[in-house]
Amino acid sequence: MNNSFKELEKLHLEQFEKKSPDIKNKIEGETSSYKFIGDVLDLYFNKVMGVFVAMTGGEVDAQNNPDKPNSNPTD
Amino acid sequence: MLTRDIPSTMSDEDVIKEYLATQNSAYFDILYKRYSGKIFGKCISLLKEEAKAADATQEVFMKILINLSKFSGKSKFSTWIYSITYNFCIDMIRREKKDPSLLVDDIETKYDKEDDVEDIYLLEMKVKRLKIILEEIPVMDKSILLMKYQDDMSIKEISEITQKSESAVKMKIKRAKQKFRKTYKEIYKED
Repeated sequence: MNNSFKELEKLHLEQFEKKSPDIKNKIEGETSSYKFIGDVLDLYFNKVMGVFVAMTGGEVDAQNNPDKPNSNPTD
Repeated sequence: MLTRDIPSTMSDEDVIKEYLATQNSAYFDILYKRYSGKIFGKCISLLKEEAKAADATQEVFMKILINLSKFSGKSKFSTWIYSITYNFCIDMIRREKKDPSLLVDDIETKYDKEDDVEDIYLLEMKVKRLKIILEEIPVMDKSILLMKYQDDMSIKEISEITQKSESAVKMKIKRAKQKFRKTYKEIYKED
């Protein structure tokens, strides 16, 4: 039995061929932006939190503070 | 690793696992190759305009990548992404208020009395005519017909996507086919 719905899908796939590289580039561009933001957050989140905790009168966890190389008493 | 180094037989689930673990773009390429065209096809069927369908394909794919870790594997990966695609397009049409049938749930019963429409009536139709009829019928009917005849989804899968009971889905398919036939007769009076 024929399936006109599948034939229509094939036509749309052919139509998509021309658009595909452009759409893929845009998706890759967007994912790299997300990754960049993620990396920045990863890098600075602890520091920003530390500053925030210090400003509100708390004590920064010395063990997890990467700015103090000798902060780990066992080292 | 390059895309060509990944076996084409690798299952979607394994590709996803590797992509999440390594973030290697080769795995993204595989998913893009397998599904982007089909997503575009659904978007253009529902949104009717090529430019809108291209933008929607991009946004749907981003949604898929962002939510990839939430894919539990309970349903087939294809069902999961088609569900995102249909819901995205229907939301878009609803926002633009272009299809009044989306504003109320279909409670019509007048079609119930009509005869059932045989599958062959839709499946043997010329593609050009199919395309024209699909553009004319309400978006919910179009979606449900695409899920059944293009995506080969089971009643259970359609009921999960539409969040309706299986008996409601069966009724919706029946009505969608009847609306399809009615629209066909209106447009092609000579047949």
